[in-house]
Amino acid sequence: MTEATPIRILDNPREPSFRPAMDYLIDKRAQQFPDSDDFERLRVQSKQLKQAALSNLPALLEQAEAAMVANGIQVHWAETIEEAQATIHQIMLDTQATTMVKGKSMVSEEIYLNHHLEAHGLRAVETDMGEFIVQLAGETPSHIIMPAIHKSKEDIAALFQAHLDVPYTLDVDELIAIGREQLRTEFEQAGIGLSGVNFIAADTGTLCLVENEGNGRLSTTAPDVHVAITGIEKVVAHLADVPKLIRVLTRSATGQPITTYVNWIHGPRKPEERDGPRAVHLVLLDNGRSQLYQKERQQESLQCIRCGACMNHCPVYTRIGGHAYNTTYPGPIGKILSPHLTSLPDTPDHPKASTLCGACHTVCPVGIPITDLLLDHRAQATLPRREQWIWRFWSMFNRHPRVYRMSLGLMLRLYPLLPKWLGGWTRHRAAPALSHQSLGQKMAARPKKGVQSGAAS
Amino acid sequence: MTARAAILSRLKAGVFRQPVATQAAADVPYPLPTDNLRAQFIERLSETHAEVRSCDAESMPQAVVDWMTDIGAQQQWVSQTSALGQQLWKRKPKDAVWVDPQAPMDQDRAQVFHDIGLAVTSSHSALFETGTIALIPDQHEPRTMSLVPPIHLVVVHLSSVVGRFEEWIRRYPACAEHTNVLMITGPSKTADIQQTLAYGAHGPKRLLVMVVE
Ligand code: SF4
Repeated sequence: MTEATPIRILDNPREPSFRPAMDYLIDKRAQQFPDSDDFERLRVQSKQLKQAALSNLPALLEQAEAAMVANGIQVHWAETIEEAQATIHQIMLDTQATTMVKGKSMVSEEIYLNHHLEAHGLRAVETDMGEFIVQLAGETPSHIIMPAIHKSKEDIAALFQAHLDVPYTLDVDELIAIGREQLRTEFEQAGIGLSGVNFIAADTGTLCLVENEGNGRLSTTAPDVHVAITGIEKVVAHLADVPKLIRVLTRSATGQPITTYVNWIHGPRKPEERDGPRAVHLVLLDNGRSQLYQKERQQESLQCIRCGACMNHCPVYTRIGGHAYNTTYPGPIGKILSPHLTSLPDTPDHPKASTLCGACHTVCPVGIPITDLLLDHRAQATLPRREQWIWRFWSMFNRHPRVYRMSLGLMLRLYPLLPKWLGGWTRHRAAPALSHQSLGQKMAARPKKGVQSGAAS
Repeated sequence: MTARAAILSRLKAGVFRQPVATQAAADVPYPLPTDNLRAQFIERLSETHAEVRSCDAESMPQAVVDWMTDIGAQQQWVSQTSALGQQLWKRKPKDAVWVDPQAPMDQDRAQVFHDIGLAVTSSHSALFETGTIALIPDQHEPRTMSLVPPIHLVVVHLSSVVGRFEEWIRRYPACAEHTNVLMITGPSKTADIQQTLAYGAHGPKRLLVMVVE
């Protein structure tokens, strides 16, 4: 969080359009919520469940911890990403494992886990197909649900050919089979597995994971040790709440009524059992969340269940893709969350890079008022001095019609004197041409129409 | 101060807005269809890309063995100790290669990951709405059985079908006492490559469901 990171739009002009991918996800979601009243009912229900849990968060965390410990799960708390890294690193050393197989976990991205382990001579292998592709390419996920959404089939075929020594193929089934084979050898050997968590039920101490591929199940079944990591906001009060939240999560995320696997973990294997990890750890990460919890408005972003729907529906995200944000969590949710997560770079421009169209808020299954929170961020931000003056003038002109008209007239006349070079804008485009008449003048010049025809047009 | 104490004290210093209770939050009941549950459930299963056969309770063990023979996998996992497994073993065809899964992850994993072509398991119950099958793995049918072999054949009794997930959890609160509970809907899949759906990402490529009336 040192220097300001602007949104990078044109860094990779080759990055394909996200439009078709987003249309696909938008369409699949819409099919799952054919009735808007029904969606509204589910959304109110989910929002209430999350808010009820959050309003009781410290007590629920303690309750969940007690239930998990009673089930044999070892619970670790981490205030910072360094603490989380060190905890997991230590578990890995204690296990004497050199390779970790990873199920999908955005929180592990948030703590830069792979990088940390690699710096200490340990391997972390992503096993979700999308994450695996992104890791092979040396990149980071560009979407929280579909990590490799920015890659085309051709990109992936070339990547596999270059790194895995396999023939070039554009057949998706074959590409997936290659990934499956490659990763099976990792699962055969790995001594430790990591996963994220979608929900923790406080009453039963259940870790709930949803996924389609089975790599999450393998990562939590094959190795002797399972480490789960998640943010402290993932706790809900009752196991009975979980099906209701899954109902909106998977429908919003991928347009599925339910994922292939819903995996409930209650602890390490019992003596009589024949498989499953012998030790289960849970790392509860804070990284700014408890500070966010104290902020009256912004705290609502903790309701997020990471479905990604706000990204899929965001006109800005669709245009620029996830990498442009330069934060672990891109898109609308990233804009309201990232400023609070202390490990992430400062991004003062992000709240401004929104049209406030409200598409994100409309689809959010837990009713987070994302646009309101963006406005709140804008209001809190201190503008550079020059910008403050510009806005002060702007407001003055708009409050004084006579001054406004006079200076506008002057502007239109002096326009040819304006420089043709306008910084970054004219590097790629021509300077915008101003009209010779103001809108007011044009309107005045129009023949007056009747109200009737105006309303009918 | 420990991380735990610091985090909890910050949370206790904050106040999260209480939810406003409204009528809208109530669950809508979801009764099972009363006519022809079997056909409708089979349809739901098929929508998940599962392959389905059905039989009655009496003919079940033989019908499962016949299906296994039709598939013709080289090596198959059948539990020697589960109630279902014992019924099947009595009918094992002479030339079929069946193995008990033992402790699958503690033996030669390469063999487990590459040589077993099919596994048969029983199920705990099922969800009508989504065509989901609930499994509670135990020492007789360890969880690897429904995960690693490329084909999973599972036996579901129609009498165990519940309307949907919300009711299931109300009916079986004791599920939390088991180490692992699984809800399985169709075969393993992914759309991670250019949104093209492909089956058999990491788990079974085919899910075969024997519905027992
Ligand atoms: S903010 Fe809402 S829509 Fe966006 S990821 Fe979170 S839950 Fe989904």
